[in-house]
Amino acid sequence: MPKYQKWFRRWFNNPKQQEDSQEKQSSVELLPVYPSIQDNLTFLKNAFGHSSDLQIQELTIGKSPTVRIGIAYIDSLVNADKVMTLIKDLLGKELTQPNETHPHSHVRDWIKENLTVVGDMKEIRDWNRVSKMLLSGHTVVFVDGTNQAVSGDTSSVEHRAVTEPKTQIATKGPNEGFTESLRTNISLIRKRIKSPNLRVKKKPIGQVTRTDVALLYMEGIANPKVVKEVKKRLENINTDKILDTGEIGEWIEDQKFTLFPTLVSYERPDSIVSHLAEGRVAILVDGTPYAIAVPVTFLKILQSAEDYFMRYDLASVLRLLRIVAFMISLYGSAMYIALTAFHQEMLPTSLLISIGAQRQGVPFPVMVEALLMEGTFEILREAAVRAPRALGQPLAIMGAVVIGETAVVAGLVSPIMVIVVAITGISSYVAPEAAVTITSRILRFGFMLISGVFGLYGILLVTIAMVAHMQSLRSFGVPYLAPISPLVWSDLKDSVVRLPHWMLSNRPHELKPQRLWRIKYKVGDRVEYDD
Amino acid sequence: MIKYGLILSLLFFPLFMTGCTGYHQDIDQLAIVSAMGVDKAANGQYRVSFQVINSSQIASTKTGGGGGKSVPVVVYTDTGKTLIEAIRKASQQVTKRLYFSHQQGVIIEEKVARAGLKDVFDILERNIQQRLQLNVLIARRGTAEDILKVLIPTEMLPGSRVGEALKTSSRVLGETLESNVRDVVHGLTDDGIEPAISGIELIGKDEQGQSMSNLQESRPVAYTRINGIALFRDGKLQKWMEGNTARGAVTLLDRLKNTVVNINCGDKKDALAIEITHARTKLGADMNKGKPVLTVQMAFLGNVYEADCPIQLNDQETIDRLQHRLEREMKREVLSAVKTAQKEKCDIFGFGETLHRSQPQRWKTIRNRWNPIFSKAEVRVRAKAIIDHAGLRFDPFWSSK
Repeated sequence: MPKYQKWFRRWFNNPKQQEDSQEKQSSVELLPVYPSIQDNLTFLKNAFGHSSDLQIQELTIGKSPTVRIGIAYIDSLVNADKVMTLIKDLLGKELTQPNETHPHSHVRDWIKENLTVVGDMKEIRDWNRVSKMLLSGHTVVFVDGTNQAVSGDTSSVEHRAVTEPKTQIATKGPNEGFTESLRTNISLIRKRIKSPNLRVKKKPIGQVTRTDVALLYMEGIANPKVVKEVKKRLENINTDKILDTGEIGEWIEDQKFTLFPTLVSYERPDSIVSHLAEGRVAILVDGTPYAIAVPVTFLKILQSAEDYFMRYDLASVLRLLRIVAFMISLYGSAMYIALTAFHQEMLPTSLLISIGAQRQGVPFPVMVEALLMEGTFEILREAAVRAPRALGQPLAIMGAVVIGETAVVAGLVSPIMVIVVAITGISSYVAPEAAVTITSRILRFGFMLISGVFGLYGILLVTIAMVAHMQSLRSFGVPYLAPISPLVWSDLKDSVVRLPHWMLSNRPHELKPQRLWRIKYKVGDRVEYDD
Repeated sequence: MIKYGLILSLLFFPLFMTGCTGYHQDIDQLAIVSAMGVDKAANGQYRVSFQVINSSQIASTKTGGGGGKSVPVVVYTDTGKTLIEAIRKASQQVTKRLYFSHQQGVIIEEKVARAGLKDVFDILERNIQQRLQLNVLIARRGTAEDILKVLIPTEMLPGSRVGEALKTSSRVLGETLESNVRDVVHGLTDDGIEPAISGIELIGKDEQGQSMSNLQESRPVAYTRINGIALFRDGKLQKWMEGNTARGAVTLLDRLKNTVVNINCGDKKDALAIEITHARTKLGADMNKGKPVLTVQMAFLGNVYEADCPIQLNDQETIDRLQHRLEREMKREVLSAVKTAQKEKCDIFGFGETLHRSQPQRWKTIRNRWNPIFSKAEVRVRAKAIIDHAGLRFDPFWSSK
């Protein structure tokens, strides 16, 4: 045991080594800016290791009192036009008479006051900020003789335009999807919530990438305890890079070892807005079009954004259908194994005869046959997702012909097995959330194995274990199976079915929102919105 | 905390105490038995036959791929002192494991039935593979084995034919009974009721009926027919009821689903057919000064199905008359059934059970001599019939002027 622990610590959790490296890096950055621009620029060049896209220019501005200034920016992050205007502006303008005592700080103030061509002017005192500003696309101006620098926003980062979401497709409702730019994503949310109570808290995470992570919530609706908890967990992330919300998710999940997703990522701003309005917290990450909403429950994950846009009766039927499909994708092949290997008395006679005849000459027992087919199907599916688009067609043909047709003709599998695999495979894609799809895909194999050993009895045992496990899950303190367990009658209105919007007067109890009622009514008065 | 842990573990352990596991058997390794036959062999042994489905043959015919190359079923036979001995001995002939859960019927030879059913039914009720809804039939003409061997063209599975044929004839004609293992065991064990089982008979040359050539004839040389109801006393077959008497018995058992009754129309005998679509029967039994009185109340709903005589069916008086005649006809049939049963001292209708339920104390004193008491009982029958329509027209087309 101690040996194992040692090994574990060395590989996963070596605090000593980590601290060392951290000190090395940050100690450089916390130095103050030097008063001489020559020193500054040399230091900067060294700090960036003479990176070829770090551009540095020295200029002399003003006529009678001349001042040396240094301009630094990173070529690949800035808009060249903006930098050009900035430089022109600096050169073209006449300096006012300098203050006798502090000639150089005067210049700095002058720059700050007169340079309006670029936004977000900031004073900088230390190298930490300098490098940060440079890396987020700002242009930093050093003034000779002062130990302060000024930065202006000249950033222009390449990113996609707002397009339709790729994964969470809806036939009804808004069709905008998030992009890779955090700014755009926040603006997509802001423009849907016209309330000052929408709070956006940004924080860079990742020692190397310094990715901006934004925390969004509605002040006055979201439970402050949940907000605090999310903040705390975000602060505790200790990593070098963050590229996607999925990485954040793994750090902040309640239960790390579970097949069930306890947070969901959305590509649709409207989904995130509806979560925010219900009192959830959203986490957006710069550089990815997926945003996380927490806390979520299992039933919430099985819901689609569309459910709220189409008529409630249709939405309810579709939700039921989705739950049934999830069950089929979980139990389909396992049930087939159990029925054909253990409980033949449960099949209608003619079906039994037909299956029996089809299985004649198949060299494997039902379970092996099913595992083979499901495994092949999974491989095929994974290949189809990863393969270059040009290969899609041949892959589909190979899958359909080789697996569907030839394997049957060759007598390796029975035709009914192909049907079962196809039905369970398609059913797993009905779930609107990819995470649930993967859950059912993995759990299916467990169910198949146990049903091959114990039949329906085994399926029942594993189901009991699975439900017990789901029952134990929490998403930021919210029971995973709410509102069914613990049962909250008034929340069942928006769970397995969805009642009309005018009946959904309260926010979900399980979130413990600050304001439970969506709308405040005054008797005999107009409806007043509560925000 | 310890208390909850204890409760949880107590709830947990029963999960492993079920008897529902350990029956792994792949579907293609099963010999699906579609019907079973029990005959009497020499020296007091049973001769048990199984009709096993040749599933590849049936499935290939279904998909239209040729078919007809080999027989759809195979019949295996063996003898034994007990039924299970015969079943296990038959496994010497069958390559796969016999599987009984999909059995459609059990056919018992009349000789076995006359000797007593009790031994046969124990295994049918005890074995976990057997279903209690299994149809039971008595082979009247020919042995059970021969009946199982007959192939007929319209049915791929002669075994399921037994069940289907019984169902159809019981629901269309109403002269046979769909009795299953549960009914029979109920009749065998309970006081004041005896089992009643329908018969099946083999018609034609059974030797030819067993080969595929029977399937190529438009008029099969051998076929089977469901016919009659057997009366039992103490588990032993006593007498057969047929035709209208059998229908009376079905009516008394409140098992009449649908039937057609012929009644006289003016002078013409049996010229008007009435279809009974709903029937309801209630039995009663009472002791009146030491003598039992059996009461039967019946209600029928019917419609005119065929009229081969000039008759005004749009006249309510005519309809009333027809209703009255129908009531009389049904009373006659029911009485004839009761009389037959009384003569044989076989209370298949469960009058004794009715009396047991209404007067449990009285029943205790007479339960041992119920059969003789039943045979001398007075029977009162009341019937009410309603004819609600006459099909698509009133008068026969040729009688309208």
